[in-house]
Amino acid sequence: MTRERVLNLIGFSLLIVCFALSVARIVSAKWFTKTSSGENIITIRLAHWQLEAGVREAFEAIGREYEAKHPNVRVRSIPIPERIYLNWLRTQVVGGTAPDIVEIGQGITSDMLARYFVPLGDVINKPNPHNVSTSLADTPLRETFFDGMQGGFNSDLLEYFGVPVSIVTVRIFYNLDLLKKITGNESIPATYEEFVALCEKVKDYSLRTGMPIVPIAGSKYNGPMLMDRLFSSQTQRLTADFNTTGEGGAGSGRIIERYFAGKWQTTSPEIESGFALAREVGGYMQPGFMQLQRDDATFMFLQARSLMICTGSWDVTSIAQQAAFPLGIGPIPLPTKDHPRYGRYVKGFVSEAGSNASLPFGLTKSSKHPEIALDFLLFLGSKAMAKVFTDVSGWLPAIVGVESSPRSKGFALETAGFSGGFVLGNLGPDTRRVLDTNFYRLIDPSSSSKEFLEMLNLEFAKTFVSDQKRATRSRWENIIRSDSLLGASSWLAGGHISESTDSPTDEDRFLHASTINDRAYYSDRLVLDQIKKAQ
Amino acid sequence: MMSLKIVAQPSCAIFCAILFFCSISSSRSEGLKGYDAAWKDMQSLQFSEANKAFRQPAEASIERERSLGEGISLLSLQPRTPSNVERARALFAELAKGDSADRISNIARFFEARVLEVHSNPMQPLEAEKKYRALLELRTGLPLAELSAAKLAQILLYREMSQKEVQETLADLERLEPLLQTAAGRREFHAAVGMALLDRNEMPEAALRHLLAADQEGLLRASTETQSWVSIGRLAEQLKQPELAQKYYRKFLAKYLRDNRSYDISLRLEALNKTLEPST
Repeated sequence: MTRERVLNLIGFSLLIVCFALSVARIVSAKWFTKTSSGENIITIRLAHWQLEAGVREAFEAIGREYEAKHPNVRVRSIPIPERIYLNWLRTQVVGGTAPDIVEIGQGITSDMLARYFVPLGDVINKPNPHNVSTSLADTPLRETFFDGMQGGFNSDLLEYFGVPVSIVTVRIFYNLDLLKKITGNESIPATYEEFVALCEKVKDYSLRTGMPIVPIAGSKYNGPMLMDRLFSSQTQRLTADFNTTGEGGAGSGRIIERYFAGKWQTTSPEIESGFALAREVGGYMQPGFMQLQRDDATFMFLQARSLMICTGSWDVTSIAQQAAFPLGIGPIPLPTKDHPRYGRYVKGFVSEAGSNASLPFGLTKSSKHPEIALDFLLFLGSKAMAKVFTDVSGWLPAIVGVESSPRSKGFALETAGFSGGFVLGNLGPDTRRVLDTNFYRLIDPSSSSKEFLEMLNLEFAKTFVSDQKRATRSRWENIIRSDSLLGASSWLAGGHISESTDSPTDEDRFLHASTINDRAYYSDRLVLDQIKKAQ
Repeated sequence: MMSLKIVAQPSCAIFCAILFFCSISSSRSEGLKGYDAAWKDMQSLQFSEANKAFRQPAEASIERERSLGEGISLLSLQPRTPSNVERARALFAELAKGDSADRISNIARFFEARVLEVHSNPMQPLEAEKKYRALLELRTGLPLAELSAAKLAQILLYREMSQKEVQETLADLERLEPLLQTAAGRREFHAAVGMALLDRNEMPEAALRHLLAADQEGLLRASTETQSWVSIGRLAEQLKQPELAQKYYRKFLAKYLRDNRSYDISLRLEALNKTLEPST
């Protein structure tokens, strides 16, 4: 026997062994996929990136509830770390092996949604079958969500793809033991003045006792959450002045256009005041906090090295489980109209009513059991399961009329009030980068804030143009893509004309989307023309 | 090696046979369905799959549909190339030739103008304007063709121009109204004009008139409806029409109480109610 022949035989044998193993595995898997009554077991997989304590347990609890009603179904929750979620999902959807139900977000684009996810279509206009014998039994699915299901809506595709399960809000978390030790009571500040007074007390306590405690644990994740909200209290009136027609807040294009029209500058009193607030509060965080990560700030708070941390409702269970002290939750204390220094530019209390429900879950096209997966998705979005979700996770429920768990009480949406003002970092990525890289100059007590603001003015004159160009380009890409959708929907309509707006056809939706998308593009382009003229 | 080759040959033959039968059955099913699957692919953003299907030769009876589909799919095909845009334009121009009034010709006429408006580099708004006007004159009664009026409004109203020019442009656009036969065509036209005037912050009376007309046709999206209703209320207040403002603020609060403008609107409504109360 030649050497070549031996190698061939070995190779061939290996191939047969592998094949036999695969067959054995498939057969054994089949044996274990039957219930005691002989029915095939169907597995529904649900992927998400919520590794915070309580959420996984909540999804598992909901899965067990569903399994109890459907003995032939198993629900498997697959938590994927946030950092790799998008890449992982992309590989799964392209390979056709994506889980049946997937959390939408983390950069999932409209293209991905259209290609790999199932639009919910008319399901949203019918009552949720899992709400039978509840107060929502006859309510269309969409109306059972506090935000009308906007959290699951994609405005590019004009379709609902996600069933949201929670609402998130941002609050200040307090270490109540430390608060009592420092102030003698557990009273949480209700106003900005009380908040600043408390921060001063912490500094004083730290100096007196030699304990390294800072008032607020900051990081590049947590710091801006607090400072942007404070900043926006100072631009509230300015934004309202720019928005004379009462549309949903002045868009970034309009803010930028007003800048070049000379209506505001970084040295305008409102902006100066916003930065002064950010500087004041930033000074109560640990030095260099903008270089630190989210975990660093959380760790600092859990070690009782800070009295407060500003974060979202999503962290409540994780922090409560790990903290060796009782937690207090309070709102971000924004200056009111009566504040002697910062009240001049405030219009009134900022409403959170415009918030959308979050954690939307969508159904993938590669699901092997789309009917069962959709049924589970509706089960997940039912009133009863919203209660299970809030009780186990401690997060707020997204369904109307569901009582929040006691842990999430402090996070309820504040619905009375006005829209907030604009935040500079939201005007575009180049502007945000300039702010982030120069933020230390604002906080540095030795640097002059006047110098900082003048430098920003020079930088913004460039970044506003590049951000506006980018925004216009992105609008253009959107209208280019939607033209083919418009053509296809028009063709498929077959010349049928819908006269009813109660149940618009796909063609109606795409015709309207075309008008709205073009409006956004043309108005952004007009801003660019106006900038050119102003320069 | 020899033995392996012998073993592989029959399996290769079987594999090829399976592929052959699959391709036959697939082309047969495509033939039965025409291009419906390709149009649906395009509607779900699968442009390359749709374009591939539309590039397959078709029977004479569906050749024009194939050309139209190929042209429309080329507009979004990645990577975007000038030659793809040019080929799309040529396909539309060919289909739009003559005075045929069928649906394919009219859809092609719309996209011929659309290519000139936003797809070609450089964009040719003046040429697009002529094509849109010509299409509207045909009074097709086709919603897509009537969208030309909205497109014309956006081309013309978002230019840098004086107040007098805006007035003249608006008067010119309003002459298009009688050409619109469908609710969709009217809705999009009025919405486009109303919103453009809002964006320009000019001619509040006209903006109000057009937003009201769009609302009468029925606005399709919650976001457009909320924006339009609040804008109608604000414009009506500005133009001293408190009853109208009151009516729209009430409508807004009844339907969109959870909107973050609702508090502001309720204060405005309260103030309006006070002014409208009969003096005692």
